[in-house]
Amino acid sequence: MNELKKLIVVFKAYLKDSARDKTALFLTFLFPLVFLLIFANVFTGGGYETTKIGIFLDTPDAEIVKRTLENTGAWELIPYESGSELRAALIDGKHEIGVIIEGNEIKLIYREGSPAIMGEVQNISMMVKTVLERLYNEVVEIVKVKKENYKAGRVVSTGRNFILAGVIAISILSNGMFSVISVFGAHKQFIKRLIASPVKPVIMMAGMTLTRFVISLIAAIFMLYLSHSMLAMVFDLSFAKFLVLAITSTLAMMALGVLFVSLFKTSKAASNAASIFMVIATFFAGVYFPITFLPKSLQTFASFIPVKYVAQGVRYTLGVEYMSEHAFWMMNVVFALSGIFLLVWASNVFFRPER
Amino acid sequence: MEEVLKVVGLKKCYEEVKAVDGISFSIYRGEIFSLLGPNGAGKTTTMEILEGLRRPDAGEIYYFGERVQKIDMRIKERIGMQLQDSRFFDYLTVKENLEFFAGLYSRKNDVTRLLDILGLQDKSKTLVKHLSGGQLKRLAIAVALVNDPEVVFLDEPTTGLDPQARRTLWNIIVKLKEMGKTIFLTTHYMEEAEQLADRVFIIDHGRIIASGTVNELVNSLGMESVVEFDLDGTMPVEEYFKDSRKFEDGRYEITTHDPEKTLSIVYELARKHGVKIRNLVIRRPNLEDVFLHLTGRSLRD
Repeated sequence: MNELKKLIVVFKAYLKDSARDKTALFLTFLFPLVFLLIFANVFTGGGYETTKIGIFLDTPDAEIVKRTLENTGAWELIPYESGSELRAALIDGKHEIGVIIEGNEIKLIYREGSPAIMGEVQNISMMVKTVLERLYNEVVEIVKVKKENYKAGRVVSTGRNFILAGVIAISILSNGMFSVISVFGAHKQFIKRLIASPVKPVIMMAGMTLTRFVISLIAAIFMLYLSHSMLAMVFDLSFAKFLVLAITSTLAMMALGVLFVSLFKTSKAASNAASIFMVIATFFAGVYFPITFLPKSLQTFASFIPVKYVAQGVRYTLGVEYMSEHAFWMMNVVFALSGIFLLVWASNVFFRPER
Repeated sequence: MEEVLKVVGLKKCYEEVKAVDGISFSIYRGEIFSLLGPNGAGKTTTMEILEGLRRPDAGEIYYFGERVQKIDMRIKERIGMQLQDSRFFDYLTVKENLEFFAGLYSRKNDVTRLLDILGLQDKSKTLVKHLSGGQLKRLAIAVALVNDPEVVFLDEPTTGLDPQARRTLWNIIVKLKEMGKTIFLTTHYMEEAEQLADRVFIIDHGRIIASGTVNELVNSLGMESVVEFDLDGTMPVEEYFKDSRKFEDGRYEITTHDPEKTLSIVYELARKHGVKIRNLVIRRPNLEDVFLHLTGRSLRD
């Protein structure tokens, strides 16, 4: 019988089975979207507010401090009539930072145990000190600072489309990795029945893999569409490259699943280990926030997590991050080769008669 | 009769355990051949070797008169199998699962006809995950028949089923024999082998310890009857009857040539010890007695 016909039979059956599994559908399509909405608001513009700073100045000369701080755009200044009134507002939790300028003394008041504001406190103290010293010492400004930004990709990179790429990467990881674990781990009796059928292991594997390609691609396009239409995200999609990346990265993520199934004796153990890996990948592979936020040691660790490269590749194909053509294609070749090698190996290991 | 499958000196070891220890047998076209034995006797291992799911350590396998080194695609096209614990696509219907497996074979049975034979017509559009244990077993047998096989392997097809579902499956297996299929059946239920099998091979610790038709095996005991009874007290039954056995539930069993004489001695003993006899049964010996006689153990042990 024609092997292609068998491949189509396997592909259609796996696709139908996956399409009717509501839990799997939710995890593949809606769960990443929920993640996208949550993280897009937590880490980016959706939930961003300028920090409010309480300020009290006992001398009109210090008005320049107020103007300088306001001009940065980073802080909103709330004036107070007296230092005690400002302190009371801070204790009430109205602000986290207060600035009191009395003569040539600057007091910066901030809530203890709040590491997130330490950077801001440092910036404010330096800025206020510099402005006042320049004022009191009558220093003439001679140095000009010009700001110039460059585009990291073809469109302006925002936190949201950074996260969109991360969500697509995680979706590809989850779709590829867990599908392999469920096929090779949980359904051993089913695999046994397939081994007893006149179908080559490589055809079984190819049919299953093809199903995953289709699902990964549909899930990714679904997310792109919704993020564009619902969240007004802007990206410049290079569809051909995106398609290649979706295929090669799905292969690589399936290969990761093969590794987990091979390393652990039971499918439950493999699934648990894969879940832990997914959490690590989510937080340490620059999926939802840039890995430059991480300490140097963790950045090195992140470079060993393949999902990091999937996310980078997706950002590149969406036009929100720069990557050289050479690096992009090399990455795809590595993904494809490692995926094909491990999947062919797995098909011969898992679809062969037991010893 | 045409020999469809022949096995010579088949061996399979798992580390120190000899799962199959040099067994040989032949199966003829159109018969129901049963491998009967307790759990762990080597039935499933033997069957899975013949299905190509396990590799033997030694031995020869002949399918349709030809020696085969490996159960390849050509053989797989001509045999069908129901595995002991079958799994299918949970989110495909009964009919879709059948069509999937049919799609993997070049020889095909009509799926609608199979649903009819297996009594699954009303479940044809039901997702597999909603099937009961008995319905799953019937689907597994239907899958074993999708390629219209010449030899059908049924591995403990009724294990875990209620008596009614078991009867239903027995009727189906008889129907398959009427359709001309050769059936290789493994079971640890002696009633199943007695009801269905043309020939029974009894396996224990990987070795065939007896073989023949049910009548031949039972007659080999050289006993006509088995007397079974309970007692409401104690008396030394074993001292008087060499071929007697006491079960864990307190029931006695005596295999005998002369049931009348045995009964009179049992009644005399009971009277002497002031014990009452309950639930007395005189029956013909069965395969359970054969196994007991050969191994000193029950099939259920």
